[in-house]
Amino acid sequence: MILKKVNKENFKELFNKLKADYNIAAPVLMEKGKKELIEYEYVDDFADIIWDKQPDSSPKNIIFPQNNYLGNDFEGNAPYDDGKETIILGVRSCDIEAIKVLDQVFIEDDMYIDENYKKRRDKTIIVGISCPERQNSCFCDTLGLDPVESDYAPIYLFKDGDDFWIKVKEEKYENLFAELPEGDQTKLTEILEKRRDKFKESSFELDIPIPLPEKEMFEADIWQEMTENCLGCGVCTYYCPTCYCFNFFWEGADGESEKYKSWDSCMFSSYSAHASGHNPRDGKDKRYRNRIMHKFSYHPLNYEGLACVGCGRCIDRCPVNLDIREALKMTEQYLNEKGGAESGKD
Amino acid sequence: MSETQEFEPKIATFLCTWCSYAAADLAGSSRIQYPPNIRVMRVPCTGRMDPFLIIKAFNEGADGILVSGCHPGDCHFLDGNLYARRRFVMLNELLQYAGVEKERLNFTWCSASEGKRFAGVVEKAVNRVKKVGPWEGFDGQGFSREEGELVREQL
Amino acid sequence: MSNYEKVTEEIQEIASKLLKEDEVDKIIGFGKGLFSKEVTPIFVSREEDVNRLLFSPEAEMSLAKYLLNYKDQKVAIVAKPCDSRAIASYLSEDLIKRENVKIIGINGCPGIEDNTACQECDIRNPVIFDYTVGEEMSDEEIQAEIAGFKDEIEEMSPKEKMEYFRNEFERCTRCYACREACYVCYCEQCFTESNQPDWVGDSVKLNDNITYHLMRAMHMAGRCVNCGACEMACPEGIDVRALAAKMVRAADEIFDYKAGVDPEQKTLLSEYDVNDREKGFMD
Repeated sequence: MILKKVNKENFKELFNKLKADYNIAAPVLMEKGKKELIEYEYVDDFADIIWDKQPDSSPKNIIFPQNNYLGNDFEGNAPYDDGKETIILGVRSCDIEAIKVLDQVFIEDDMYIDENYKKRRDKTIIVGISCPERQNSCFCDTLGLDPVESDYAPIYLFKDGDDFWIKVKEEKYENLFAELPEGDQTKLTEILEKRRDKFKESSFELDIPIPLPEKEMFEADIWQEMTENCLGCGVCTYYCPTCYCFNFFWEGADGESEKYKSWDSCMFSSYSAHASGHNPRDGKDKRYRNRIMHKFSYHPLNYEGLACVGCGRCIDRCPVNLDIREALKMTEQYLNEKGGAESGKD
Repeated sequence: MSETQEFEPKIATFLCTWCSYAAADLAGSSRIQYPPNIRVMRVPCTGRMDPFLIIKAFNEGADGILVSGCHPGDCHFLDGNLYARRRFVMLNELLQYAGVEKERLNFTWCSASEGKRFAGVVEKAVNRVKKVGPWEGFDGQGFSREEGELVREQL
Repeated sequence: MSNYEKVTEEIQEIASKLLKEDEVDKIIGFGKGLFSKEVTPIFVSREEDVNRLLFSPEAEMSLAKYLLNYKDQKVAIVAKPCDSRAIASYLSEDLIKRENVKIIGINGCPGIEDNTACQECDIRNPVIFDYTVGEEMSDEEIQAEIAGFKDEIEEMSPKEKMEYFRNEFERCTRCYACREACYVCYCEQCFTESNQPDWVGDSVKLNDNITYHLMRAMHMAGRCVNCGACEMACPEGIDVRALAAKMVRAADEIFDYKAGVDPEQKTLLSEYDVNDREKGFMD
């Protein structure tokens, strides 16, 4: 583990050097019609990068693209261009944890490895960044994450004014930063302690058993009330950094067809529709129940940790501003009324 | 490189069974010459014409469309074409607003005895579409044309 | 703006009365979220929650659509003029019963922030209501509000129009928020899910996106009330409303038809007139 410290000018030089050998994606300001949103895009100009605000969408589209062309050789092996590795700069704790969730599902289990995802993920280097303060609707600390530092990223940045501290945790990346000046660990610890103070005041207290008890929650009667204003559109699943449902489709004409992988959403009514016409999740309340249970019950039962990272994207993007925090609060109240239910682990 | 060929549009044509298709048939049996660019699809009545069929025709590479039915008031099904008339006006407005040149959209009425008129209508439609050139698709990607085959270039 | 505050007060009064006298089971209106302070549709059934109801420039959602979830219950709804048109349209299509819904119409609607539909809205008073709040706007005042509106897309050449829409729909992620927010789109099976025939592909390629929006606009012909809910719902800030708004203007200019102004009217395309104009036809 090495710790380096540079000022903005030197970091810019480092960026320009890395640009030659790597594709670099970072949060930039995009004009989208009437809105101005901060999203991850491949960048050429260091000055375009936005460091101090939480991006409005996660880097999910870079490692798990919405429209993924898989070629036509029926092995599903995607052709990759240019052979360069990709660095995603400035990923916050919430999004790093989300990448961990995607890794758990697609590659960590030795039996089921998604080759397509693995190829892309192996060529991607995550460079995390520490959050300076709570922003937008995030509540990652309520769910047990640390917004100030995350262990899962191999390289981690701490920005303090115009200074960049770079912590390199994996040996294989150390040579990229070898020539930079050393950073003083004690000074950094001071800065981080002050930062942690800013997060002490939690916006949202929650006390629920993890994983949520499956039977009780499934048969609870709170889902209707919770989703009265839900439109059933699918925006939350598209901007959620951990949602990974996907669909395949083939396109082409006469003899040649090409395979594509695209995002799917459990909030669409056709998601669980059977060919017979029967639909086990034929109401918004049932589909939302499935979404919450997946994130807070099914995923922690099968893997480690929640599948919700408290980033708040679903809250900010929802057309009717439906708040997952209200949903979780209702769940907490329901379980307390039932006499403090046990965790569903047994 | 061979000499440049003149652009020959492909016009997706929808004709109602009872009037316009009969008109086309009459034009054929009377040996009236008209441009061979139309690709005819017979429908029972223009009232059956779903606007989506026209949008789909453009997606499949048609450079223009031609829809012809019985004259209003003479529909074999009494009022099918009267409903269709409103639908076509709205579709016309929509597609022109979206940037489709108005020369590509051709709506008309042709009765079963108007073989000559049908030939004239086809001639007019083909000339109109020739003026605006090949259709590049809603996304501008174009359709490659090889040996009469229409092939969508895959991304 | 004192206008919004006054309307808020009046809404709360009426809501309180309706719940006290047990005339309705629920009141559908706008309120602030409990954690996020953003405006969200709320469903009030207890008297103590009545003071959550409000009306503000951020009240951008179309509430009329929720009525379809309460077809057999008695509900009250806070209706902007565009919502009242949506309700009149539902009544004309026999989707809800008049006696089951109490409409609290907002007179002289001051408009929603960032909603481009409000710039060309000429129906500022509700077309159907049981109670009204706010002050009615006269015809002159309405004309003065929309005097400056000009449709810029109409002036462009076909090439420029194509470019504009390609640019906009490039960003579309096919989340279908526009479809779900629209009051007109209530089909249980949308044409996008159709397999045979396969009208539009599922990918997010530009061609499929444009096809989806064109086809949806065609279903809006003669039914859109120009409320702007589609545009407000879009998470990518796309000008989704443009195509459907053109349908609204075309229906008005060519057929002198406005959707949702009379609960007894028939939809534009389910009727015909033998003297209909054949605008844009050959010869």
